[in-house]
Amino acid sequence: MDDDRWGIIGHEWAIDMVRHALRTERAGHAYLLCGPPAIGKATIALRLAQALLCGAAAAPCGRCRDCTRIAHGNHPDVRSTGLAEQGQGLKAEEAARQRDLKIDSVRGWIADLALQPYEGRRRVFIMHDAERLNDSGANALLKTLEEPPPYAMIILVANTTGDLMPTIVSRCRMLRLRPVPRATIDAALQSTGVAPAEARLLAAWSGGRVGWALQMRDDPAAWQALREQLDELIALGTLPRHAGLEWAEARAQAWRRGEHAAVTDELLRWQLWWRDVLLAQAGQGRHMTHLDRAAEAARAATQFHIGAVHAFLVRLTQAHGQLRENVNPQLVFEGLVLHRPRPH
Amino acid sequence: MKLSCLQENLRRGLATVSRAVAGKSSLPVLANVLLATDSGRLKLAATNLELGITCWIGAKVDGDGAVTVPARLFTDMVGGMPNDRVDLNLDGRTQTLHVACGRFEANIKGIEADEFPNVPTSAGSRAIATFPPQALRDAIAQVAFAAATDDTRPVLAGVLLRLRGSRVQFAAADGFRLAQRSLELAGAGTADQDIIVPARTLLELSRIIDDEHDIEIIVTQSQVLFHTPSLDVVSRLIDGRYPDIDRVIPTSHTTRAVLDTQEFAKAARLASFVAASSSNIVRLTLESGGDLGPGRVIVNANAAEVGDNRGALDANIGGPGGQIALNVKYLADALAAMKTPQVALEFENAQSPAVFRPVGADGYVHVIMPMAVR
Repeated sequence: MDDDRWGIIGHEWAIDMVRHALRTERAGHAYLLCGPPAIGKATIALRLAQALLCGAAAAPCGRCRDCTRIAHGNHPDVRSTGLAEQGQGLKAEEAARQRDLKIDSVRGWIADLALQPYEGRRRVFIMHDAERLNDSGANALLKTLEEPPPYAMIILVANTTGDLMPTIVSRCRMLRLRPVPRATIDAALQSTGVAPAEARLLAAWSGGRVGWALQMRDDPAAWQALREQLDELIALGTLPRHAGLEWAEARAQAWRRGEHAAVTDELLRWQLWWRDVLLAQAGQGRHMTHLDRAAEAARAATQFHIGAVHAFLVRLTQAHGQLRENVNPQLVFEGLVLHRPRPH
Repeated sequence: MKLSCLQENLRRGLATVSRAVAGKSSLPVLANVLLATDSGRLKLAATNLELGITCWIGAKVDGDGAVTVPARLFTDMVGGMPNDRVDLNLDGRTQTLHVACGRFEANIKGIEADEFPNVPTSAGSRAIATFPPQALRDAIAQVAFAAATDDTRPVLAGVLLRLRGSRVQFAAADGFRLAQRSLELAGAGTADQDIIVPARTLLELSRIIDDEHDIEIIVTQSQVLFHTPSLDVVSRLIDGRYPDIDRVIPTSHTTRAVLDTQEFAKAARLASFVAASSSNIVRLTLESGGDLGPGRVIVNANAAEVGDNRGALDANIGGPGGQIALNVKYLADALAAMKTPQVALEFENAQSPAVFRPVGADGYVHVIMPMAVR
């Protein structure tokens, strides 16, 4: 890497901390990287692995055989596990429906820990989706996490720490990553050749999730689909009740089919839209997520009562929790539709 | 890379290395087999990081190079081709391997050879021991099965190789039984060393070594290499401290019985059908014949739901005799590992381990822990 930031956008303090620990040879034996999805946790885990295994003076160089193999997931001394690895060999829809990181995945990973480095001096063990560890998986991990072999570094990657057992969290050095500032993402996107207007928009929509912004930059079709989804969600605010109920039923069916991630994302998108309306009402329009919809948000700001918008946002937050706790999805979505803010 | 070789050789080489191809792995490149030219020969290599197999086959090399191709696909494809000359030609830009044989041709998309893990070679290292193939194969067959098959204690999934001068000890144990074999080597070893090799590796090794060449053992920091001129088997060593096996093998006994190995194995097999329903327990009762003649060993299995089975064997018994309960599966395994017509069973009492030794051959001992029976 040519810079001091390991080629990572944002998270300067975290990189500095890890670099300092590595330089003074006081790196921990286990790290826990947590933060919202697509924020750069997995990338930092990979860079950390590269920094440990790269032979160059300014590790990680990003160009040597070790670094490229780590980036391609082909390095023998870096072992990852997670829902993606666990889902290997399953059908696509079965893989998407996995909820837990199972004990067998954990055991296979731990068994590998007993083996000495294959090529270098160190081995790096990365566990993605650690928040999905079920109880038996987490318990199986505890002993290894407390006292891994001297050559091993364990990196747990989790979206939230709330679902992790406190005994796991306390055994790791925690790096709690926060959303990256909008201006940082904007500048980074522009430096890769994205047009300024587009970069500003992507940075705003990303909500500080760098990985998301890069993904959408590379997949215009997916971004177009998201913008159409937002159109639909904005329209939903004023649709007649029967059309709203149809929407609710369709979402409930998708949830029952196991498309949890897609449905959750859509709810989140809707929530962000109402947040935009609330921001417009509070005169803070520049902080809006959907900058390109400023005019619509301003119109909605005059249409709805600020109290009603706030109440609905609270209700959307509750809906996320209810879905997680196995409340009947159809009731959840119908409840949302029936309690939409009414225009005055 | 541009070369030609015989389909038969290529097929055999692929069959040898494909045992090391990772079935399900987190590293995509491990599902591939490495093809590389190596001083006028074609080198085939596969590894699942625990076990790596490299073999060399004769080839006419017109251009050096290397690539990795999906092992399953390539093996199946070569297997289906006629017994004729196979031409391999690599397009370096697209990493596509062109395979031609007789009237068939195919293109296989590969992954760059650089992505493949380093496979250690014998170059520049000195062997710490050299084994004749048959002796090594025997030792593995007598010991490796006693290693643990679960991963609760990683060191027990391995076989301990203890090198002491010209003497080598193989030992494996799973907590319930222990097998130990000693070998005298022709040449003196270089250094005293203990290594723990995964049992799976040794079983694979004994399957693929040929009878012509001696096998050299080379140890690097974390790996062991079994080397012959046309075949290398590399294995990771298991990290850890092997339990002190000398303390497990009893040094004294009160009763010693000498039995016919075949008859004993037959009786154990008969007892196993009933014992399967009663936690595999088989009772051995040793009855000393006193001054009147030889004694007897009664092999008895009893399952409340199924029935019972009883076999009586003639035996030379020294000492007071007694009763001991063993797992019949372990008993059968131990007897199968005996190469001599007679086997000696030594023990002290029902709570002490049973020791099996071949009669008339030194160097092998098998210990089975007794089962507690009320």
